[in-house]
Amino acid sequence: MLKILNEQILRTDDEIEDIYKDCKYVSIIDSYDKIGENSGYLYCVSTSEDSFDELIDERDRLEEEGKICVLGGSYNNGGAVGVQYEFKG
Amino acid sequence: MYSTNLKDNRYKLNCIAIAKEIRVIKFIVDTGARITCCNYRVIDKCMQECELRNSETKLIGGLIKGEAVRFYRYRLKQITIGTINMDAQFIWITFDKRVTDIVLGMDILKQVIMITNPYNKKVYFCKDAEDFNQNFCLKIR
Repeated sequence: MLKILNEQILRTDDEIEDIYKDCKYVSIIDSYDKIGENSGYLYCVSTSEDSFDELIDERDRLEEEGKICVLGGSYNNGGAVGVQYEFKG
Repeated sequence: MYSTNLKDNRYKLNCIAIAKEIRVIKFIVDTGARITCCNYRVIDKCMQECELRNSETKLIGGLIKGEAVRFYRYRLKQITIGTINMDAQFIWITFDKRVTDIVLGMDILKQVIMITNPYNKKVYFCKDAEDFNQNFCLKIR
C-alpha cells in the first residue's frame, strides 16, 4: 500500500525508518548539498512490494516537478544484504 | 570525507546516481557484497531488459534465499558516496521484481578508504590519502 503523507516537517532518515519499519519511502530534500544530513520531508511510504511501482511513479512525478527526492528504506530490514556469491557456468 | 552513523548495526548513506536522470538513493553499505546492485526501477523505470542484452551478466545468490538472480552490468555516468565523487562507475541492475534492496558493495567500496569508529559509531569515507590526511581524525567521544 502506498501512503501519501506530504509532511512539512523535517525528519531524520533514522526517524522515518523507526516509524515506518520494513517500508520504503520517498522524502524530499531542499538541495543536493543536503544529502549528507540524512534528513528530509517525508512525502510517501510504501508498506509492501506490491506498491513499489507506485512509489517509483511518485518519485518520478515529483522529480519532474523539480523536487529532489531520496529513495530509501527496505521491505525486509535489508534482507538482501549479506554475502553474495556468483553462480558460474 | 563523508561520514554516516551506525543504526541497527547497519550503515546507510545517500548517493547521487546519474544515468539519464539524477537520482538520490539510500544505499546499504554491505562489505559482504561483491557488487553494487539494485532493481532497474530505482535508476530508470523505463529501462527495458532487451536494451542490456549485450551487457555482461552475472547470476548472484545470497539476495533471494536459495535462488540465483540475474544482474546486468550498467554504467552510471556518475555516482557519489555521500558527497564523495566517484565519477563514472558500473553497477549491476536486475529486472527481478523480488529484489528491491539497494546495496553498495565492495566493487565501489574498495576504491575509497573506509574507517569505522567504534567510539562514536560512525563510518568515515575518504576519497584518497590526501582526503584522509587532511580531514580524518579519530574521535573517541
